Amino acid sequence: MSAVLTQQVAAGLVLGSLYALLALGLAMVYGVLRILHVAHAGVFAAGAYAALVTAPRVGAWGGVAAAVGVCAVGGLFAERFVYRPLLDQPPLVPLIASIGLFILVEDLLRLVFGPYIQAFPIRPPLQGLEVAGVRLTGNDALILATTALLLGGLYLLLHRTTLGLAWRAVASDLEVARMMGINTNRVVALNLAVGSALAGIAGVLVALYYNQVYPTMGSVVGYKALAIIVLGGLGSVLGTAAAGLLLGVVESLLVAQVGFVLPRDAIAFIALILVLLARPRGLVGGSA
Amino acid sequence: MHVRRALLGVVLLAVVLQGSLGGYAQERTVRIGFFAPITGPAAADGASARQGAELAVNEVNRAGGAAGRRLELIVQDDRLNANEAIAVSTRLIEQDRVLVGVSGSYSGPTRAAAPVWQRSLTPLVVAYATHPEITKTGNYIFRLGVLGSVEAAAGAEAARKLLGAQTVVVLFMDNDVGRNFSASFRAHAERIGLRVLASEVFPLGERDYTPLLLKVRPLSPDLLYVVAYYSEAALIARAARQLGVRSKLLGMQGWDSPKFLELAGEAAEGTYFTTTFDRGSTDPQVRRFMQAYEQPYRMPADIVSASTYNAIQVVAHVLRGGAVSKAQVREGLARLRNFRGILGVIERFTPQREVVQPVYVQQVRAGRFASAGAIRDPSVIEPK
Repeated sequence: MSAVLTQQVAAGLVLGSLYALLALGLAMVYGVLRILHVAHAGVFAAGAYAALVTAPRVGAWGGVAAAVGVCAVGGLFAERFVYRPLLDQPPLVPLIASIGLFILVEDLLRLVFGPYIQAFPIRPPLQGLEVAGVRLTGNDALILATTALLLGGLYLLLHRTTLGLAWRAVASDLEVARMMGINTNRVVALNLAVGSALAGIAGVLVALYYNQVYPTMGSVVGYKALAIIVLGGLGSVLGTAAAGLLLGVVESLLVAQVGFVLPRDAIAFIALILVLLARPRGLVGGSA
Repeated sequence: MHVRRALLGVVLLAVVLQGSLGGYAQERTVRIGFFAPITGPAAADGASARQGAELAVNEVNRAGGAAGRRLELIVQDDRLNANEAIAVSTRLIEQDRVLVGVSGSYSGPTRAAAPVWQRSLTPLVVAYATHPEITKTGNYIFRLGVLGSVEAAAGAEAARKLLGAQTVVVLFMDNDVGRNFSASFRAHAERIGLRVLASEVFPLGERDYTPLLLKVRPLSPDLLYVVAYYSEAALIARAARQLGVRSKLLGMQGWDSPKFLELAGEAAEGTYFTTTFDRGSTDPQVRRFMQAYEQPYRMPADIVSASTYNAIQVVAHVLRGGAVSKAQVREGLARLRNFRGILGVIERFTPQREVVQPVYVQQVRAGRFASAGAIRDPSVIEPK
């Protein structure tokens, strides 16, 4: 592979990591609740704002902790007060509730923090590095490493712990899991908390990468994350991560080779349609 | 008979008195109709537009008004919506009976509203909207902002003559403004021997410019001409710096916001853009405006607030010249010569009611906008 091409792939992997982190939480929620958690994108934006507001006072790590905390609590709140009461309704009802919740969060952010785009106060003192002729900035490296770490951790959690077992049991059948004595409410709540915390970290990384925080920062990435979880086989954690990374690389290569023949969001949805035509259960298809 | 005649006389007298009294009252205050996107997606610019206009009106009134008449600014919100702009314009003209209008809005709403002003023969001064069609509506519509085609030609001129570039790559956003700028830039570049190596479009709202810059980096142009609004421009400047792109960066008026400095951070350093607001101007008017603006509004003045401030100053200047009726205000605007405002000297309006004024080049130095020359060549800045 030529140096130019590897550089383009690296740029795609960085972008794909951000997609994957955001989509993971969405996939996890879909896995246990079978709900398209549209408001996840709002949680993501709220995470970025939490860090934006707190970091100047309590430092970068405090800002990250605030983002994770605010998002986890937000996820728990959405589960307890919006999704759980609606679980026995037809799937359209929680979906509409989720869209409503998303709009509410966006407008709240606008009312509280104003419509202006704001610069992000955290600047990690990282040096860029060069690996095999590929130039990575400090932020690039940070994003790749964080994503790898979180993905690995999540995989271990799912496949090596009792909680992970309970989790997978609930994902495969909530009713049966409950009959087997699993406290499904607790598992679902934990799932929301962990998935939302990931969105918080994604929010901080995106804000860091682009140095921009604004109320609607969730909307475009949010819709794309929906495409990614379908590509990844709805609810599969590994499939979602793979689909996110792949989409990032495909988008970057297309833009770098031919330019913006069409908006990159169109690329995501065209890929979605093509994949669904060929493999109706997604790229990976099936189990968690 | 006598009684009837006397009665008629009284009625006539009343009518005449009423008319002249009304006229007298009108003469003491002049109503200026103003519309801007106060709410909606462009609310940030709407706020700037309103503040700039209010500041100008307050200053004129504090200095005794225009030829003894107080200015009254009537602000309406068009929500960046064409229909709304038509509705509020109708209201300003028919209900509020304004003498003259000022658009503090974007091209879309202004273009929709212009025919309403033209039909009622009420002059409209467009502060910064750039769409070429707006002034073609009719002889009551005047534009103070420089046309996109003029600014882009000045950009090419600056790239070649001021910044010494011989090769350039154009990156432009995918909308009316982007296409217009890129076409005019290329046309003028060809005329003056500036080689355009490539020209790349990107969608509005795009966040990730790394792949696009990776595509153009191997061409190593002397200069990248970037037609974008400040949030995208900041992302492009950052990505270019991260990828080690060595080309100079030249932007346009869309960059002209303190937000650009904030969002691009140190990547803003050394970049250039064209605009009509020269921050480094030695004119005391400019300093005074920037200080007077920053105090009450707790934000630095930007191109939008400077433009609406300038528009009100132009209107006040025409009123000082004695214009009382709508037709006289129109005449006054058409005959405006060498007016010195905060955006520099407005030489005049062309018969197509486009402004003739210099285009300034600004450079970011030590985190601030600084003067980096001006394009005054009539063959470039004269609208065609």
